Amino acid sequence: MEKALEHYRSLPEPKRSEHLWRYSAWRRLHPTGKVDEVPKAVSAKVVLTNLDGSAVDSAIELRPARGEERRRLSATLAEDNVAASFCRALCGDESLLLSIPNSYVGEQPLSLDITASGHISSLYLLFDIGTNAEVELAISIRGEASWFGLLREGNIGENSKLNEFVHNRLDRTSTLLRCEGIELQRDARLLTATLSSGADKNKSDLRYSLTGMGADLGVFIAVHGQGKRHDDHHIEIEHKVGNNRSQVEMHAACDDNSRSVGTGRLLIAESAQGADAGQVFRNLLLSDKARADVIPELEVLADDVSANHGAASAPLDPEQVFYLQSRGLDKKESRDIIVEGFLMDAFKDFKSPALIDHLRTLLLVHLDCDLI
Amino acid sequence: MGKDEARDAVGDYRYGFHDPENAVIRFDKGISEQVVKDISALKNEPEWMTEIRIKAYRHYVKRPMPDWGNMGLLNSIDFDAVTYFLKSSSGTAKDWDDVPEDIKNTFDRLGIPDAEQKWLGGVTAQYESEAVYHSIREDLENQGVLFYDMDSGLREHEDIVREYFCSVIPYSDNKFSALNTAVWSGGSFIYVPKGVHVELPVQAYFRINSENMGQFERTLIIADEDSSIQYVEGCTAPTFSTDSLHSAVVELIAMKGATIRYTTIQNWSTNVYNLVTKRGVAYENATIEWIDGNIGSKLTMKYPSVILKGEGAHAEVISVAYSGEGQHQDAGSKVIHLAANTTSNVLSKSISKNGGRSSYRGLVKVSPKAHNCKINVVCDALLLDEDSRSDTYPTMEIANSSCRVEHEASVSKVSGDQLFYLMSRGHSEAEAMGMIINGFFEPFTRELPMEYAVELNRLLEIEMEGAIG
Repeated sequence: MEKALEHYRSLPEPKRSEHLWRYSAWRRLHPTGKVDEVPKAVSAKVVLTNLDGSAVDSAIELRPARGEERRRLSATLAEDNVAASFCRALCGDESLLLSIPNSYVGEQPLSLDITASGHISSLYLLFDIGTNAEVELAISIRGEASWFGLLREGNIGENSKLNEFVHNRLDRTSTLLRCEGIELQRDARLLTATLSSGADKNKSDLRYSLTGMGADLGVFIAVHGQGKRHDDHHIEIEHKVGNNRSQVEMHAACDDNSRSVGTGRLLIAESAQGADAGQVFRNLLLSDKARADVIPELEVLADDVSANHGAASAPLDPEQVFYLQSRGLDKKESRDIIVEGFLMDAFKDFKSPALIDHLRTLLLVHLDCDLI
Repeated sequence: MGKDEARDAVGDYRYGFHDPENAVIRFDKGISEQVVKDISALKNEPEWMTEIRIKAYRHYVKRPMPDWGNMGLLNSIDFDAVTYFLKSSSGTAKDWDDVPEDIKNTFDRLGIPDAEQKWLGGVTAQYESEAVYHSIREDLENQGVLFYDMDSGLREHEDIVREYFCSVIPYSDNKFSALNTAVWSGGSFIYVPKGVHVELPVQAYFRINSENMGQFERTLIIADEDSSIQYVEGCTAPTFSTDSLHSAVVELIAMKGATIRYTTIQNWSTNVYNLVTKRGVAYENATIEWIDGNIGSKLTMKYPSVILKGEGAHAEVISVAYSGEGQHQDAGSKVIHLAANTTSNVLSKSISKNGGRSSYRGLVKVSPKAHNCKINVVCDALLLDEDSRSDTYPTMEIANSSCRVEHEASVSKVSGDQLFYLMSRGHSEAEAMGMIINGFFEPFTRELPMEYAVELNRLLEIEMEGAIG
């Protein structure tokens, strides 16, 4: 605990010239604004069930992590990552491990319900997925904590497949700091979808390391900005070895005074020949005062690769609205249905029918479309 | 053209020669407030200019080095080893015959007088810190076009210079604009009156001849309402074992309905740090085009910018970069949309080879009042070997919901299918590679005056030699 605290305090405050902190200064995200301070935090409540509410298979464990497990599973986030270091200091010795054994094949998706309550709340969640396993996971982040820090680190073993859906539905008055570092081994596949609609201030720093050949990563994010919501997602992917693939698709629909920030960093190491990587950021601006900022970065050191990124921002297409109105929908319904379609489009390559149904239901409830 | 012919024509870096230095005035190395005052006194400048220089120097001293980009190379610049002013000629000649023999030889070897006769509307040739030759076609002069080297421009048209100097790029913009404002010398001053279209391009040629030299030219181009001008600049330097510094500032002002096209072929030798600030302001329905080619230098940091201030203004930036061994081309563009119905197109292409590094660093900013603007940014990079590197750092800040922004970037290697197709038609692998590279840069070269396009293609052909295997 003391070591983590000391380490955090030894790090300099990140500068705004770093793209990661350009639009969301650490000082403003910090729970007290005094960056040297590490306040006391209440641990978030975590409940693991199957998605239908039944008890999970006894082979799956959710238990406090041991020191050796923490060390083994926390290799992806760099030592100088200020946000991760702060979360470690905040969580102290408390951490949970979700362990999926080798060759486990889940029949139905798991549900991990995280409730953050109290003034400042935190959770250090590790996960370890063995080899040849297949699992689907729906994570819900909710609660009324005014500040919640979630640090998630883990490993996906060889030839394992994880499909996960993360729904940020924290109270609108909350601030969410989400840091993730996940490593993919040989032939592992991770498809991770996020629907971000809660917490007025959100900073998500998501990092993935493709350390095994044949690893396949898909990151799909849909952001709905309302009111004064400030949603900042940083997605960093490192291709360390060759012949693996990554895809990022982020769609942000910004309404009212909201602001969406999407920064991507794609690193292809010299040894990662044959990598195939792409990032797409799309923004739909729904009001005059909405803002969207995008910085998709590429750093490519290998020559036999395909790396590309694209970004687009545009307003609501009046022709689409007109078409829907000509079919009998009113203006609000037309607008909502376009927003829903735009956000769902971020998940078009998220190949998990059960989780797609689940997230579509949650999105429709959130948009209050009355179309369920 | 075959490989041998091309090598004969261009050489490895054919501008790498240097002539003996015959300085009329040479300042000691290093910079101080006294150096700044001395440069100003030597040029017999008005008081206001001396004051700006001093303020800029003080800002330069206070301002830290940028904490982004290639900090390793940036921090290796030894500012105390640089000569900040060196005058090689006693004045600016209007006739080639009056240019000192040794300098004339240099520019003859660079082909400047030849080009002037054939296809230029005017020429400024700058050697070290000051212009040594300057001319403008009589018909343009009669139409009221002002084309001077910057020092003469300040003497002859102080009122115009005073109005626009530092109006687009204040000295406090960045450390290198402060340095340039403090010690600037040479560059071009152009004023195109209302309704005048300068059909032939005017050219400036910048040459560094001495070791550890700093060249800090300052260019100011004002195109009045409904006028147009095309300006072309070329840059070369000899190859020394120690480094030189080139830190220019270029300000463009395009009034209502005016068009300015600024074309650069930067071919500094690979011991030159090229840290340049270029920015233009476009008023109502005006157009500013930056056509920017970066072939040489050790480190280039250059992001030609356009501020679209008037409704209907347009910006066009086409840039190409070639990075060979030991080179880092950190180039890009910035477009700031402040007014409604403004449009911009950015096309960036880069090739990295033999461990070279190319970076695209761009900004597109749309202010809340810039309704209905349209922006398109495309970056393509080719990596020719596994030692090279390509980075893309585009930033888009959109604060208006009615604008349409599109950005795409890709990094890849030369397609095997394309090589195979060309080789199946009888070309050698090297020829096929050359053709693909020239095709890759074609959107840039087609915007250049023909002579420049031919020259660039030759240069690339030489640079690309040995790219196979």
